[in-house]
Amino acid sequence: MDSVDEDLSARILLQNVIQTESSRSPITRSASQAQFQSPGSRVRHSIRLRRSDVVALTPQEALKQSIKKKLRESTSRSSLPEPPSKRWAVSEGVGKINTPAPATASLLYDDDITPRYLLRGILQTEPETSLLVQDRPVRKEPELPSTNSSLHSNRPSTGLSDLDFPDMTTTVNLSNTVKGLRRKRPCRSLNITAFNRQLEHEGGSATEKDLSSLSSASPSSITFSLKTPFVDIPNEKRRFQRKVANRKKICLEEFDEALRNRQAAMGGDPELSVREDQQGLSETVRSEGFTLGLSDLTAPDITHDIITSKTELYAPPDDTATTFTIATQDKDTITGTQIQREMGGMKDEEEKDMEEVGEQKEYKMEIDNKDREDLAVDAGQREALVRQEESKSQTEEVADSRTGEDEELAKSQTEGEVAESPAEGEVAESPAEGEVAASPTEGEEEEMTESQTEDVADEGRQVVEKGLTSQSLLHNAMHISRRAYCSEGGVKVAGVMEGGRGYKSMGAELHPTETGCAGRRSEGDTAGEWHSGPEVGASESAHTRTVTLGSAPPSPLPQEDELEGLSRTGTSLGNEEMENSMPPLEMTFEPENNAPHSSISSLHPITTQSPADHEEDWDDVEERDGIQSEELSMKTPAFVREKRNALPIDPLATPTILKDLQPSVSAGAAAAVKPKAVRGKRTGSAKKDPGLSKSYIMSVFKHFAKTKVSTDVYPVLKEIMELYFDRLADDLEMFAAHAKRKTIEVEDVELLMRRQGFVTDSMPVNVLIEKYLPMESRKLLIPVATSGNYVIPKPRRK
Amino acid sequence: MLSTTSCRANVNFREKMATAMDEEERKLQRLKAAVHYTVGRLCQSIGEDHQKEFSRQVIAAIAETTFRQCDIFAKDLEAFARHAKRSTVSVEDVKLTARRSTALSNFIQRKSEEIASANQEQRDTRKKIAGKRKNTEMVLP
Repeated sequence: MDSVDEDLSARILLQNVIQTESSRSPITRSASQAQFQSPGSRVRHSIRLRRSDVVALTPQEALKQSIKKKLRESTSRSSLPEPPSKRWAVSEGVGKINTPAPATASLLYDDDITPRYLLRGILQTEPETSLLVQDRPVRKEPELPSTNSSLHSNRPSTGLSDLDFPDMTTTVNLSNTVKGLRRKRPCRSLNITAFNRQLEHEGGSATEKDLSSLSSASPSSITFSLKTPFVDIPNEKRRFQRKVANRKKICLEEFDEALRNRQAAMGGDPELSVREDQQGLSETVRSEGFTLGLSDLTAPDITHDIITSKTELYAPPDDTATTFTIATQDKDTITGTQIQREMGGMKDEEEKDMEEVGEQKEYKMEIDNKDREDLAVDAGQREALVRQEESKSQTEEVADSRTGEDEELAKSQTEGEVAESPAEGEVAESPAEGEVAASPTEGEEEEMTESQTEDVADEGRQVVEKGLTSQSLLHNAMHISRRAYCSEGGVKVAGVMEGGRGYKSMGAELHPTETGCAGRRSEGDTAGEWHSGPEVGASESAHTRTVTLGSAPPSPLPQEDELEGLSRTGTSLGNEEMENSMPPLEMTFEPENNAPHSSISSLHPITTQSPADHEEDWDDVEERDGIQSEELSMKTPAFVREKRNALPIDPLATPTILKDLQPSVSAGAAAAVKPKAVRGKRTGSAKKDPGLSKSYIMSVFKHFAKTKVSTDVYPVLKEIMELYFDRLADDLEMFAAHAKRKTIEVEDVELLMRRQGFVTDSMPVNVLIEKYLPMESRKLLIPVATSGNYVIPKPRRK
Repeated sequence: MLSTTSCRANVNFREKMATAMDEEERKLQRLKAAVHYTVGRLCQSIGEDHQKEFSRQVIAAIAETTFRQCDIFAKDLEAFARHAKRSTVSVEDVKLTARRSTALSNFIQRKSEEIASANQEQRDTRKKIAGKRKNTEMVLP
């Protein structure tokens, strides 16, 4: 027979079953007896089966016997098998289905147990199974046409009657089970989907197709309610497939595009545009900056800043990139605010030297007087403020503040690229925009110096480049993106310095987008200062880490700048910076560079070389770095881009967390938000006194107030927050001094949290970290949690 | 046999734990009583200075607050000592704890200076005595 060859497996199975029937476990009989409502028939059935088993039956004969038995069983049985019920359920009431379900289930189970029944089912159901279902069923159907015909004959007669149910079900079940025996599992899934479709359609056509589809579906599922089992199966199958990997990328890309579109559309809205720009430019930034309106970047900045100094070797590229960005921002903000406070009326005409000195002073002051967190906070605040301001006003006001800030920034910034970037941005803008001739130029210089101090090459180059090209938009975008980087980076402190390369690229990009030079500069300064602070304490690993990050994100940036056509006049500066940054990257202090800036470096004998380098670089740079930085940035465009792209995902995921981080700042908000995160947000705009932007403070406060908040509270809030931050910085400084250190470390902050009551014996720091910080910060803070039991850096906790 | 002994052991253990807890409780009570008594005395003396009296509730509130604050101080001091990587609480830790309150910090500062000077004097005198002894010893043999 033709079918013999094809249906070799079925025949063989059937023969085996028949031959081994006698050896069948008594379970089937007893089980069947128990299950069936008409035990008598069942017994008879089983007896008959046995009889048939004894005799070596041909497949067809066996099939016939089985069919007959099934008919008898079905008639005797009151319960109907499920699969047919399913088919009918659609058209008929569910009651029918449910009642027969258990019986059929039992029967099915019984059948399933014995291969004989399974085979029988196959043989019986083969003709029934529609050709649509699978190849196998189709194959099998023709194999036993004779038997099938008998089945068919039976079926049509009972098709619509209740009798048909058991028959169908058994056959269906058997077929299903038999199919289960087959090896091609995936086929089933197809059937299932088809079945589901049919079910959904309420198939109407209770045809063999349904049955076949049903049969194709897992046999066990047939027993019960119509939809659930089948639905479950496909879902399960889908679950196993795990197609999640692609989503994020797509979202990010789309997101970027959307952002860019928004930017184009919004244009007018400075902050939003700025944000968008940032996002568009820096993917990493995108995730973080995008989530929150104002406060996005600052929160992670602080935590990152604080953390970066501590986390040493642990710095996945993504993290570093993010941290890098954040750090820079913080620096900028810090310096800016500090500058504003302390420097007061620095004039544009002041020379870089003055600025540098001022920076040093500020740096010292900051180091001495302020905690890292404070810096971070200031930086964050300033950044926020600066950003806002920048976006809002690009007028003289900005220019004026810029000049002052730039100067201050340049001085105070030793570490951060951020300072550079903002300064650069400002500088670039000013010359480009021509709003304030003096200030911008000075700002540029400042920026350049700043960049030198910060991450050296990158920023310097950027500054130069930016200054040359007056692409306000670009500046703004760049700046924002830069900021975004900073905020994202969180781990700026360490990274800023090290990621010279990265920074440069970032700075370059950021600069063009700078809108408010002053703000940026201040931010950059603060960031720089802040960086120097944490860097001091930070281990080299941290620096290297940040460097890598910085290099990664910035590299694409500078390229962009370059692409934009920034002149390379500043390149010299940038090169110099690059050169300078390079050494820090390599973790080799540059004595040569330091020499001229010994004063600066003396500020932080321990401090990471980067700040000193930055300062030195700044001075020396003017010529060398630009080129080098550019080159460096050029080197890893793709790589950096990928990293940047990879980074932003996390921040996006935790927008609310960032929000949570911010509110703690407000004095009124007693929520158990990590004080670090809160503090980070304090950004002092270049123009105003240091303090977070009004919208930011209000938004955070409102979020935690959970009731309506009038705007009258703002001045009070602002004052309280300033006091809070002052005290915070004071305490942190005391703690650091108590431990005979000169740098505020993470453990100082932890101790403060304990004093504040956020951390108790029952609420460890890690829990708070996980509760309130975004993923990047968390990764940095708790490297063990994400290391998969393989922690390279020294664990943060003793 | 074994089961009964183990049961008895468990019971004994639990009793011991219970008694230990009771002991702790009783200690706390005694400490609280001591604090309350001291606070009462202090309030009395201060009241006499200002011709004012302290009601019982006030004294109780002050005593309870003092007791809890002591607990907090102890925890903070321990945290500070650990922060400085020390296993002993020192004057520095105390000063750090009290810096919030200006008056208190000043007071503690002065006190610590006095104590330091006193210690210094003691050491000087001890050295002198030791020196004299050495001289005499040297001379004698």
